[in-house]
Amino acid sequence: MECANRMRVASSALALTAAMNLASPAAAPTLVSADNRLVVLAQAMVPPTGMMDTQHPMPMNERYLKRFPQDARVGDLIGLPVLDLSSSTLGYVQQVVRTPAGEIKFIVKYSGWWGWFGRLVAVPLEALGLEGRQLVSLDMPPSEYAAAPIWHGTEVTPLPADATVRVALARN
Amino acid sequence: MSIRIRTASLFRPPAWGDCTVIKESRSLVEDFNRRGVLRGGLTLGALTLLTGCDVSENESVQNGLRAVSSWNDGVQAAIFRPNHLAPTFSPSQVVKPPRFNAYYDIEEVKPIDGATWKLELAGLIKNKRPWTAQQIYELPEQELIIRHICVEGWDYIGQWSGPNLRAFLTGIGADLTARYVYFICNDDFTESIDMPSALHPQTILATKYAGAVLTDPFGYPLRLRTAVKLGYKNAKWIRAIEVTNTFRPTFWSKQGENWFAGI
Repeated sequence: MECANRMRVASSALALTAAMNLASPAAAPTLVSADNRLVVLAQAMVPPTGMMDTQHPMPMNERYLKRFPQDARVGDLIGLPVLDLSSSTLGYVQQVVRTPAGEIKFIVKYSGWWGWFGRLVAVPLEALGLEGRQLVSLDMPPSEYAAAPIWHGTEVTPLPADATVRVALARN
Repeated sequence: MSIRIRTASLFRPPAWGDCTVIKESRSLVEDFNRRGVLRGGLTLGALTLLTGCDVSENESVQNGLRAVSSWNDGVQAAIFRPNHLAPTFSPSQVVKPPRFNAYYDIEEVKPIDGATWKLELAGLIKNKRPWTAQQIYELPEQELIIRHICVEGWDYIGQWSGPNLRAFLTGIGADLTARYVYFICNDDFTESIDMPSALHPQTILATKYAGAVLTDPFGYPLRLRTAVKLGYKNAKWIRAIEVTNTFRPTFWSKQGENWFAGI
């Protein structure tokens, strides 16, 4: 993930440098005036998806939607490992539930010991990405798992195995 | 409890040689991630096999690596069995949805408008008229439930269906004695396969996954799916196919990945 950050910064810097070096309208079809030059420079500074803008972070739900959510059978999700961005195991999915507010939560047996001897924590559907037979915690870092309260499962509806939820995709 | 004293390996050299190669490869090692380790490991590992070369000379190293890769291609082509079938699996083993991969992250996938998309044809083909998605859907389908194997070290069982590539090439009057089938994709990705692999019974142009039309991240409307190549050879979001005798470097071969990539 750190490498990806460096690559994004580098690509933005390269785009900025390229924009600053544009010398003629032939080289940059949109560059016809000083105002347009500023627009090109500004555009070069915007990360490709806007997802790394720390001043105005994209809401988690919007990031979820940008990751092409796909139908997944709940029964196929139970038991999957949940990994952090370094591919270390945070825990294993025990249940998928719907809260009274209609939110979907993955109940993960979390442990700081690669999933062993854990406690139950609730993870929002939108924070996870599916990579084949594993889930990646894209928007909930390990520190939030450690700080999350123990899940007691009151007033929720466990989803049956043949239910379908829309899970975002990941490429970690 | 006794303490085991570690003795030096019998194969340890008496003195280290030129460490320039280690210094030059330091950036590869420091930029540590899974893909980097595979690439870096390949480079460092191959360097140890370069006898008679000055391994501190980058051009020599690269030439040596290219020579080894070409040798690998030749060996793989020689042992390829054009009618030997890869193992198939049951529908209950299919992973749904499949695992996404590309040379960029999921957020950067650019969906194709299937209504306006056309498959362009070029090269040694008699009938080069473009094909719409609907026309391709109307062709007889072949289903494959096979193992997708990625060079990164993961795999899954997938279920793809679509027209058999050999049947498609025959129908459009392609020269089946040509050497390569070249794929150009909507995201500027390019890939090519040898003709014997293109004609293999388990090579199709996939339009569906698990019985449903491919979705955007998985190559809609058309992708290659062959049981005889590593995952990265299975081009997604195909927009043009060319049959040719001329080899052109492809996206991954330009970056040093093995071109034949047979399994």
